[in-house]
Amino acid sequence: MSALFEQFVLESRELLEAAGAALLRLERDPADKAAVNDLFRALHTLKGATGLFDMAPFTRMVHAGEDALMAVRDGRAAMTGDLADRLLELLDTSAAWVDGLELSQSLPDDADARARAQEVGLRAALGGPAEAADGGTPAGFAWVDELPEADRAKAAGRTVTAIAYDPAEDCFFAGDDPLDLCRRIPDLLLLRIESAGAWPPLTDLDPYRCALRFRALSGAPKDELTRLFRGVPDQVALATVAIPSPTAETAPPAAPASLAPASLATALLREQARILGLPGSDEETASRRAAVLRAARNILAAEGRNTEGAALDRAAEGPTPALIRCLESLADGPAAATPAIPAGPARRGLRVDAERMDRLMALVAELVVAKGSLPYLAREAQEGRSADALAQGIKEAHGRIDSIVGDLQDAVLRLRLLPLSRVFDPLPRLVRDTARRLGKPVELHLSGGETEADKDILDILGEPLLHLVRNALDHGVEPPERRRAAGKPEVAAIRVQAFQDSGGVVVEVSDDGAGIDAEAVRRKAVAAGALTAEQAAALTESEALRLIFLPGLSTSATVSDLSGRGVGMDAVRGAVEQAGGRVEVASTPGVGTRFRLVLPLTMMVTRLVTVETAGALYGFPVTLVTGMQRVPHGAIRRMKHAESVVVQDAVVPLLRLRRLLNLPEDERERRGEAVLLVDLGGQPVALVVDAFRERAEVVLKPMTGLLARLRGYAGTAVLGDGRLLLALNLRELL
Amino acid sequence: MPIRFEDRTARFEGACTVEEAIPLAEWLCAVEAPRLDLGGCTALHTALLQVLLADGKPVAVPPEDAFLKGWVMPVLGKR
Repeated sequence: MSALFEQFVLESRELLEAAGAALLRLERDPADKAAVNDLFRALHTLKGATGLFDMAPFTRMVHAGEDALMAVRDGRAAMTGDLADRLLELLDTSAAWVDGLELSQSLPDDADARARAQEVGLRAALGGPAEAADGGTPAGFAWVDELPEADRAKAAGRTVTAIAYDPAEDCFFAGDDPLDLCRRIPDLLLLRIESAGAWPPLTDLDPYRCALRFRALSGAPKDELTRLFRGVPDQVALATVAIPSPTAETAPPAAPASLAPASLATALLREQARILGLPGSDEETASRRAAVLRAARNILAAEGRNTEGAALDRAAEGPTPALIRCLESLADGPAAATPAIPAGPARRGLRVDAERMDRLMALVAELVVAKGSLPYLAREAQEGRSADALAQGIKEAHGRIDSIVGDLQDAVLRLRLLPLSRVFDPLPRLVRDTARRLGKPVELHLSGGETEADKDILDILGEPLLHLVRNALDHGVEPPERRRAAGKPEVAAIRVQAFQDSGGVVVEVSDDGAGIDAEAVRRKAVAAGALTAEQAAALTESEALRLIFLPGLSTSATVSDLSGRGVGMDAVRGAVEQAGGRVEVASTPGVGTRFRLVLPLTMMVTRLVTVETAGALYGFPVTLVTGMQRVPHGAIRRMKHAESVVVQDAVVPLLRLRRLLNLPEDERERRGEAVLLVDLGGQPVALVVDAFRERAEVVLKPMTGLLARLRGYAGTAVLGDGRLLLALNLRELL
Repeated sequence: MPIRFEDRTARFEGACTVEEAIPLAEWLCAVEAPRLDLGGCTALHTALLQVLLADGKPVAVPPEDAFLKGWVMPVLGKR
C-alpha cells in the first residue's frame, strides 16, 4: 500500500465519521446551516480524495450525495427522514468500501451497480425525475462501455437506448413479470440476464423474490421505452448512448489487481467440493463431510468472509449435492450482495500527541545514561571492591533504572490511551436508526467521552457497548403508550457515561425503562435448567438479576431481530471479562436498569492473585476474586461427588484446582483447606488450592501457536524471580 | 397445465406462469437426475427462470421460441 493510499484510507474514515455526525445533527434540526455545510464539506473532500485514485464508482456515488446536499443548501429540496436515510446508507456503503479498499485495494465487483442504486435513490428522495445526467456515457451505464465486443456487434455504430432494469424484490406480487417485459422491448439488440448475488441452494431459494436484473440495448427511441416501462419507473433507468463502431479503439477494462489471494481460496474450496463428491462408505463420507465443513469455515474466516458462513451452515444441514453446490458458489468468490467484511475491527492508525512522543524520547535518553553506570560497577567488582560497597552501587543503579522503567511504562501506556468518544461515536447513529425502527422516541445522553482508556480496551469495549445500548432500546424502554400510561415522559432517556475510578475505567449504560423483572429471570433460569426452583428462590434480587449473564438466558419474552436470541448478555460479560473487567447490573422495576462495565485502564499490566498448587504457580485476575479463606475440613459438605461450602450464608459449590487440572491429589496432612472465592459472573465458586501466594502485577503473554487452543489458560507471565506463572481462565476449565 | 411433471421429465408447454415456481422447485429437489424439456415453452415467467438458474441443471430440450432461445438459453447454459 502506498503512503498516499494509506493516508486516503485514514482520512476518508475521519471524513465519513464527521459526515455522519453532521448528518445526525442536520436531521434533528433541518434548519442547521452549519451542519449542512459541514456535511457538504466532508463529502466534497472525500470526493476529491477518491478522485486521486482510479475508483470512478466511488467518486460518482459521493458526487450524487454532494448534489443532493447542494439542493438542500439552495433550498430546492427539504431535509426529510427519507433523504437522511439515503445519505446514511451512502455513508455506510462508503465506509464498507473504504474497509474493502484497505484490505484488497479494490472496490467490490458490484460497486458500479450500487453507486447507481444510490444515485437513483437519492434522486427519488429529492423528488426529482429518474433521469441520468447528460454527457458521455451516463452515470450508472458504465456496463455499456464494458460489454464484450461480440455483444455490442449488433449495436455497433448506432445510437441506442440502454436499459438497466433492476426489478424490485417483491415485484412478482405486483403482477410484474420482468422477463416478459424484456421480451416486449422493441428492436432488442442485447439482453443480459444477471443474478443479483450467488444462488442459494435450491431448497433455500424463495422463488417469489426476484433476484434477477436485466441489462439491455434497444434500437428504439427512449420515449418509446419509457412508455413500455411506465409501470416500473422506479426500477428502471434509461439512457441514450452511442455505441462506437468496432474500428474505434476501446481500452480493455483493467482487471482488478487483487485476485491472486482469492484464487488460492477458490482452489481450496473447489478441492473441498471435489473431496465431498468422492465415493466411499457412509462412515467415510460422514467424517469427510465434517472435515470439509471445518476446512471451508476456516478458509472463509481467513478470507474475512465470515458472513458467508451462514450460507454454508444452511447447506450443511441439507443433502451432500446441495453442499457441493454451495461450496462451488463460495469458490466463485464473495457473494456480490454482501461485500467482504474484514475479520475483526479494522485496524486504525494511531495518532500520537507530539508531547507524549517527546516525553518518551527524554526517558530513553535517561535510560541510556543510567545504563552507563553498570560497566563501571563491573570494573569495580573485578578490581576487588568490597561486597558492601558493590551492593550499595548496584542498589543505586537499580533504583535509578527502576524509576525510569516505571516512567517509561507509564509513558508508553499514555501513548496508547485514547478518548472513549471513539467508542461513543457510533452510538447516536445506532440509537437514531433503532428508535426509528421501533417507533420509540429516545434521547441519548452521552457524557465522559473525554475519559481515556487503552486502545485494546476500547477495541473490546465497542461491541458490548453497542449491545447494551441496543438492549436498552429494545427491551428496556417501553413503547410510548405504555410510558404515557405509567406517567413517564414519552421520550425515553438512555444515558451512557464514562468516568475514571480507582485504577480503572467505568462505563455505565442506563435507561429509564421498565426495568428487569427478577422474578421472570428466575423462572426463565429454572425453565432453562440452569438451576433448581429452590436454588432460584434462595437467590437475592441482585443475584437473580445476574442470571441474565448466563448463556442462553434472555430477559425478553419475545425474541427480536435487534437484540438477538439471548446470547447477547453472555457475550457482553465474556468480552468484558476477557479484558480483565467485570459487569454489574442494577434494576428497579418501573424505574429503569443500569449496567456498569468496570474495565482496567490497560491490558498491558494485569493484576493477578497467585496461588500454589502441586508445586506450580497459577494466577487468577484480581477482578474475579472475591475472597480468600481457610476452611476446616468439617465445614465441607459432600453430596456424592459434589462438594460445597457455606460462605456468608450461601451454599457455594466447591471445586479443587488439582482435579480441574488433572493433577495428583494432595496427600499431605492439613488442618484445613485454602479456599479462593471466585465470582464467575453471578455464579460464586469456591476453589481449593494448596496455598495462597502474593498478588502480582504481570505482563501477560497470550498463548500462541498450538498452545493457543488450550482455552483453560489465559496466558503466561514471568515473575520477578524468574519463575513462570500460568494465568487460568477458570470459566473454560469448569 | 403449462408444466407437466412426468416421472423424471418436466415438460414445459405454452406460457409457463408464476404459479408453477414452487411445484417446479419442489420437483427439482425431489427427483434424481431430472430432465428438462423446454421444447414447447413459449413464455417463461421470471420466477421459473430463477428456479432453473439456482438449480443449474442442464436443459435437455431447448425452447423453440426465438426470444427464449436467443436471450435466455445462453444464461441457462452457463450454469
